[in-house]
Amino acid sequence: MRLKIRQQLASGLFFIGFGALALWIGSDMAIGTAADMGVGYVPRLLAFGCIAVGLFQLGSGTVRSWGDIVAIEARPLTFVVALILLFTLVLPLAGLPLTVFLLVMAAALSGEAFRWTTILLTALLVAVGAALLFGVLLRLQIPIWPLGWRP
Amino acid sequence: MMEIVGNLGLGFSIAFSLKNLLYCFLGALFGTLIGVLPGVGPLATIALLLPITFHLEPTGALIMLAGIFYGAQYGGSTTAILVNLPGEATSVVTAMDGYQMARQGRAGSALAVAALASFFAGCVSTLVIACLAPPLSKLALAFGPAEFTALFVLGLIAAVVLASGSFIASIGMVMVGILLGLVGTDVSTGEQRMTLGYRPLFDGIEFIVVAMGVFGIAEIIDNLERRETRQLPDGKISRLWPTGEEARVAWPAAVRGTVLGSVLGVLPGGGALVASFASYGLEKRIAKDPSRFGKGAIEGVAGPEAANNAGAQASFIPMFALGIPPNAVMALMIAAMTIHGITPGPKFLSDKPTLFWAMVASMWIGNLMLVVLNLPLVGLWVRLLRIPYAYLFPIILTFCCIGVYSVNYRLFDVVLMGGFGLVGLVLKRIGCEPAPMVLAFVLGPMLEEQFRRTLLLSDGDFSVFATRPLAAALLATAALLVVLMSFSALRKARVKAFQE
Repeated sequence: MRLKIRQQLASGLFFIGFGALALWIGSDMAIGTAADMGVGYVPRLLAFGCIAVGLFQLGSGTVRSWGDIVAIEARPLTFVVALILLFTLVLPLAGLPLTVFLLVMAAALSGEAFRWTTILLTALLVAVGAALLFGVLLRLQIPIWPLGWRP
Repeated sequence: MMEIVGNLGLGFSIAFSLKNLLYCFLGALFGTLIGVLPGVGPLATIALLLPITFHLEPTGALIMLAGIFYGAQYGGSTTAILVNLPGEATSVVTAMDGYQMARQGRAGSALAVAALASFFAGCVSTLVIACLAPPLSKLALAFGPAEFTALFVLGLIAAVVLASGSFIASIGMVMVGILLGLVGTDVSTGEQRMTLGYRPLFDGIEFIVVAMGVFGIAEIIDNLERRETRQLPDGKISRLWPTGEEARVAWPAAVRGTVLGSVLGVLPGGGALVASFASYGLEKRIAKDPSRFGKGAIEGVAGPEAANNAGAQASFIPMFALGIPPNAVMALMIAAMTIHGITPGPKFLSDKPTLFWAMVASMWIGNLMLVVLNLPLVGLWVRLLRIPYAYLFPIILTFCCIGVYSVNYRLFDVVLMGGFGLVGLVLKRIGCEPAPMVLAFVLGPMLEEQFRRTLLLSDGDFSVFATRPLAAALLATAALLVVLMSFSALRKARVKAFQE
């Protein structure tokens, strides 16, 4: 699946949306005065700035017919995000080496050309390497063994 | 002069301890190792390797960071020469003639010249830092909040001017970056800002999350999409050393590049980029036969590489002396230093002189390590470049996840990194370069603090920015840049420079 967007139109909408979102989320922050600024003074200024930039983009876009069409492929994007979510879900349960092994194996489904033996070897190496580097050498507080088990 | 020699001596005495030399070596090695992987630019390399330094003591960590920095820079040039894959804007220039040389089987001499030119530039600009940073930081001690506000604005505008995207969009990205940087607890009042009452956001968004998402994850997705257009190096490396004729042409170019880089790099806003383009232009103009350029002219590699390295290193000067990162790479370095409780700025030099001089010394050592390391290891880098992406990207992705997780041990950060990866990719596609956003993310909170303090002191009177001469001059420079950018002539020239 490919999502096609027009550059200038999309960026204009992005800036307007982001500015409006910032205004909405920060609507409870005190503005204060220039001499005694509240926490909301600068954020509001910037949010309005974002909206202004967005409007300018839309305005200049209509003149030059919205710029080029850009395509974004949905597959690699969702795939990578899914892998990241997999990491966060599995790590607390399975510990680092198992998670890494799973992640590298799952990455085989990306559609890139690969050989099963090589990917298996890579997964094993990276899993052991990560456990040694981060767990043993750097002593990070990352769970190594599954289910909180300790040797 | 004697003072500088004494200070450098102090720095070298610290940097030359066995442990610190090892850190510097490992930094340069890992930096090149990761930086040379296809599709991993210097920014992503540094972001990836930052977590390793978090767990060292400050001096060792900074020295290792310097090593990583140079390794990453050099790794970028290597991919540019071997596979025409410039990881960052500065390597674009190197790729023009370097890749042509590689196709003619002269990859070895292109790589060697790049390494030696960079080393020469590094030696000179280490001295420039040693001479310029102390007086500049003394000057900066006289800075009040108004001057700092103006300086931050100038730095951000300069970053916008040099971004490759559209000018207006880059200004928007700066504002988005500052807004994101302000999320979390306000320093002066302790109030929550834009956190929606969500606890993981109370400490603000972690910088490394933004950097890895926008540079690391987005690049992975990008590479997976462009499967067809990726290329692997095919040319064999016949000889490593440049011929006598090549060396004779290359060294004056390297000297000219070094001078250009040292001068331009001090200016805020990514001087290294301007310097390498300027150097390429200069070499082409003074060459007897300009038509050789773009077809493997060795000056086209030596000059810009020297300029790039000198410029990158000179950009440490505004960072150390003023605490202002001139580009996204330096912003990463500042973030890493803050994690060790070091705030670069005018006080850094007077408070922690040993640390400063040790870092200056280790920059030189880092440069030396690169030459020692890279000339014999060129063959290994070539082999690394041939690793198919199917095995490479899971490893990079894993490192991103572990790296971000190890900062606070929060899975929320990992998810957020994924989110920023998505956003970063989409932004790049719609013509919004994310680098200014990341720079603004770091500078934003400092800028706001100084801005608030200025107006508190002036009792809400905005005219201080015009009446204090230094602040006014800095703001006028920023305004001038904006006006210049609005003229289509310069805009066209810039587009041309990026396409060339």
